Amino acid sequence: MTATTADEKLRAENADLRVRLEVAEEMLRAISAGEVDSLVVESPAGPRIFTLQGLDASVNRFRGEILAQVSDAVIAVDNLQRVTYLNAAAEQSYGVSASEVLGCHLSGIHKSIWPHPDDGGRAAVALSETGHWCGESVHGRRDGSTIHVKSSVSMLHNMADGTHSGQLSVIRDITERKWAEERIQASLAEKEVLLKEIHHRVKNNLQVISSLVSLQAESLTDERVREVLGDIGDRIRTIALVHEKFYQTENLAQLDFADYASSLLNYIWHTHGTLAGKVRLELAMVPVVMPIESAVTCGLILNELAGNALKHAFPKGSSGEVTVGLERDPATATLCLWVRDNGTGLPEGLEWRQTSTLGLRLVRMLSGQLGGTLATGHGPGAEFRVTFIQKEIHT
Amino acid sequence: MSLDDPRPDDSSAFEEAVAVGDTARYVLRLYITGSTPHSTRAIVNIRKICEEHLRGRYELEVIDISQNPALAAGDQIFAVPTLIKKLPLPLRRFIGDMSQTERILLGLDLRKAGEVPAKLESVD
Repeated sequence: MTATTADEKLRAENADLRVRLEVAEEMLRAISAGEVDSLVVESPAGPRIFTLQGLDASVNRFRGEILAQVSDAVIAVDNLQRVTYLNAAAEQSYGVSASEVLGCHLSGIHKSIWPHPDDGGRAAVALSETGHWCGESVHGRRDGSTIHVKSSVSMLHNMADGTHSGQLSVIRDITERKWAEERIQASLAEKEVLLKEIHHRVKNNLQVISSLVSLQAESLTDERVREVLGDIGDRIRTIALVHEKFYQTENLAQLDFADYASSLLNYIWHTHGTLAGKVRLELAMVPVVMPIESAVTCGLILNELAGNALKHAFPKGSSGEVTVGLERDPATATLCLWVRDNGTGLPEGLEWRQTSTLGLRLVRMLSGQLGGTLATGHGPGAEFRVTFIQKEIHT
Repeated sequence: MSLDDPRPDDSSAFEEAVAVGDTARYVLRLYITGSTPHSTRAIVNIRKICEEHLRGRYELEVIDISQNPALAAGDQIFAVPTLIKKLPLPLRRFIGDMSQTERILLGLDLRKAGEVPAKLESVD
């Protein structure tokens, strides 16, 4: 009996010693293979960790310090998309801890949400063909929230044989920037709407004034006063039409003057129906884009010259033709607006440069405002040309 | 009673243990210190092994003792990284970055000695 108990005791001790020997051998093997990070040592103050310095410890520490400082997330994966490295910024960005996700599939950190379904495939192709891809996408975090990101992804290769060993991604959170961009776009859109509204209201207000003038004119008996009020009304409507065109158009800074002129002239012919019946209107205008101030000035000039031609070039009842032209010389950025009629022409000896009729005075003033010159043609009939420089504005 | 159970001596008990290993549930504990290179590699390598050989029947607890060294006392950890196989018995410990996959598979009773290994990758 005692022999067996002693025997068992020896066997137990033997087994115990063997286990302890194995542990010691294991520790020795790992240390000599350089696979150990640190040792736990007992001290009077409790257990302490002693870190072992390997040959490349300082390099590793330096690299580690750089990656810890970098504010972009850095994630490395192997061929099977399993995480082999992530830095502190990645842990923070995605709300994960390294020990949780190392060795797990990348989807444990984030999901990729692409703007278009093909984008993911296209990125993979670019990566495999050139070894690099850079672009924007959306990442879904584990808690369900999403962030806009700009990623820079590179293929990693085995140093020994150059085969593909994984991928390295540097990921920047651009959610703030995207949000700011959207805010700016929204703000711009809002401004455009407001600007259109303003044009609309200005047009309406001018129409009101114009109607008041007409109303006033109707209540008067003096024909000449009515005519004057009528002219005033026309000039107001000329400006109102500019605002109406801006309200209708996409471009908020410039309008197509040829299009405007055609509407204006149609309106003038329409309001002077009886005269207009016998006078033909010809248009010879090229499309020219103008900012609002020039458009208003040219509109008023056109209103005077065309209106004058219609009203005064042809004695009562006779027919004729009025031609309105707009030319552009791209080389000198010079525009020329002209109105010609085949009517009676200007009165002999008319000093039109010094004439005090309001209409021509206006045209001279307005040409001056454009920084341009006013000239007459040689006949037959009357011709007025306004020439000025209009630099192209590129929006 | 010591923490480490004695290894069975005769081969039949050993084979039985291996047979159990095909379906048994594994409880593993990996002790690391922060995100040092060996600790990082150890996590990656162990997870790989667990996913490839123990899918659905393992529990891996990763314990970082860099902030609290006292955590090392429970399993008598002296060197880091250390992997402890708590279940199934017997208790086993492995030290290092877990890159020697064959050795670890053997120690976890997932390979019979002398079995021809399949081609496996590990992070070095």
